[in-house]
Amino acid sequence: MTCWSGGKVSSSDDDRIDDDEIVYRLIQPGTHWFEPPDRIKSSSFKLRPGEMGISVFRAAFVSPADVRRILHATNSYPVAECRVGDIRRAVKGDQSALNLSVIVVDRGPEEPGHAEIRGDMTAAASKALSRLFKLVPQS
Amino acid sequence: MTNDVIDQEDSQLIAGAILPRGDLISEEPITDDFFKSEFPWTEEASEQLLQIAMLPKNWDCLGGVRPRGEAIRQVEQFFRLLAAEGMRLNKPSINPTPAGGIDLEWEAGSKSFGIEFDGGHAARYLFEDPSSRRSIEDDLFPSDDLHAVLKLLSELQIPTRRR
Repeated sequence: MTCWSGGKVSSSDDDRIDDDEIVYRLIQPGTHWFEPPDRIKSSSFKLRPGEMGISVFRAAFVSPADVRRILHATNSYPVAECRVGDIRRAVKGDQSALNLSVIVVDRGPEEPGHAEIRGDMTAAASKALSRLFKLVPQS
Repeated sequence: MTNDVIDQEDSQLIAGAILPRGDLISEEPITDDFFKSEFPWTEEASEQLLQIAMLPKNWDCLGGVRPRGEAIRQVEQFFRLLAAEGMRLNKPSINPTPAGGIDLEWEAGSKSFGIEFDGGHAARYLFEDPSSRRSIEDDLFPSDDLHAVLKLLSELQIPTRRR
């Protein structure tokens, strides 16, 4: 196990995330000062200072409602989803590979199923992720 | 704006008009009459920027930094410059970034142009057009010529209607 400030990166084969798995990402809310919530924008996939990866949650462990609860977000925050294999195969506008990875980053029992999208988080990577992730309909 | 205008090599149009070289950039308000007359969406954009400026820390529930006032002023300056250059553009999506910057994104068909102002001495931009397999990402510094950026952005302009 390797320690990072935002959790522990697992190197165990048992923690490998399958390509067919779905991951969730909390999206900026669609209040009147933001863009309409049906539009997922690149800004939802940019790193904060000190972050090493884009935080996501595995659908095998949590529901979209769980994601909101874990992050203390209200129902106005949409949740988007994407297949892990699609993230790993993401390309730029010129069709060259972004080589993104999705890895387990354990944040303890309070954040089950936490993972991160890692790689060179360029503007092209943020844009590609905004294209790939789709909103989960609110139940 | 036509590409002929953008291609003028003798005109001086550098990113220092937006990005600070050390001195603070202009703090003139965005709501001057000239600017309003250029873009029908200026008022909406201005209101959006005002609301974004008031966001608290952790506005995204993921530890997001408060948007910086300097980043907002850079966006206003950029809009002003686009208007002065006669660009015909729809309103971009305007979003705060988790690191305290402001993201602008224009989309037209398969093409997109995004630029992030973070209040510092550089802005990052990305032009993409998957249909022609193009992806151009670069930093914009105060001494850089803005014509290259405007030329990319001009590909997303609203077509002029023929009479």
